Amino acid sequence: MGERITFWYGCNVLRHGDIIHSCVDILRRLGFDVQPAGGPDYCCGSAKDANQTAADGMAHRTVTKFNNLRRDRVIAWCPSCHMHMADFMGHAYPPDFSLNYFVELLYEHREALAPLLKHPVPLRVLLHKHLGFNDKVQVNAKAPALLSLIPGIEVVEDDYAAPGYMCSHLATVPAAMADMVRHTLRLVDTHRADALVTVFHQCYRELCGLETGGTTQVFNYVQLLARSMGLAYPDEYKEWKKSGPNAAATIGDARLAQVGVQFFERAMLPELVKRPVGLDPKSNLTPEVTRHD
Amino acid sequence: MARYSAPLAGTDPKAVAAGILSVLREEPGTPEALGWASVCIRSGKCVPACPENVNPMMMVRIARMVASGGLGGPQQIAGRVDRDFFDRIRAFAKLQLTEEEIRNWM
Repeated sequence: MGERITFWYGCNVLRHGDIIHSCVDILRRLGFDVQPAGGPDYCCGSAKDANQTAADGMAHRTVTKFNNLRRDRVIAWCPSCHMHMADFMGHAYPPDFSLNYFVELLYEHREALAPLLKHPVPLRVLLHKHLGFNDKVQVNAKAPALLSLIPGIEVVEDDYAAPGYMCSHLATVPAAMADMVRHTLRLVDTHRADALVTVFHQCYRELCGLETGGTTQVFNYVQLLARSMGLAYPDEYKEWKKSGPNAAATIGDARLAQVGVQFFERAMLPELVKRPVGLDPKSNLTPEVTRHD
Repeated sequence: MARYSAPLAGTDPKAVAAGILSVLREEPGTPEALGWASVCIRSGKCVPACPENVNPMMMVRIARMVASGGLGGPQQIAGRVDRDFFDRIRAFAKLQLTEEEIRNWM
């Protein structure tokens, strides 16, 4: 039996079932005894800045549930959850576990990971980096090191790191987001990269829409690790995003009925039709945007 | 982010810091401080730059909680209101996880 860990995937990554399933499979193939945990019942509370009573309740509940799982380590997928646990939750409610970030764990086990990456993925990729979280976990060095384990992958070297600790925060300042997108697309072009690769799902959610503009392919690094391991979970979120206003047809009536058509149209469809600001790399204009995250 | 936010153009960093301290004391914030608290995206470049060896990013983060009314005081900056936040997450989960996974993983 391998080390017993809790895989804390968070909330918003539930848009990307392929990423969650791939992470769980990767951890199991590395020999871990994995308990996945996430969604609203394991929320960190970082989305509740304007209601600290609610945030405190969430922190207490989540730390207590992790303590009750009696696993030595919690492996966080989400950088926001990781930071909120390190900065707030773990100070208010003593954890009976240590906290690591998913990239850290894979990097720690990179010698065991390498032989599992059997299928070549012939891509020249640019890693989409950010400031901020990298001060806590050195993802800007460790994520490309993991990608470089994949046969056929070439990670281009570039020092640019986008402002903010992830794109969904940067999106709150649309003009800055547009500048970042335009600069990133110029870098993809300059380096003749085949694809842009994100570390965080929040960035992937914002940037995978670049594929609709035909400018570059976009992946999350876990999707490329999974592909090399022969895991074949479809990236449905990207397909829905590509379908845009026709996403309902792509999802299909039976599945749509599970969430309700009216709810889908009000609360889910807007982000699927949203496209990254600054999509045209030659444009110097800041487009008008509406935020839907 | 100052160049992307008109209220912050040309502001004095000391005035911003003093305003943030006011917010942390649960006093009315200055426009400069409230502006910064609204647009800080946590790059963290202020942390190694701080001559006082404190964490300005954390100060601004907590100031944002206070100024958005998070501790029960008056709301001085607009907070994000997304009434569908958790229901949207549950809906995406229903589309991509099995019933068993939802039962055991959420």
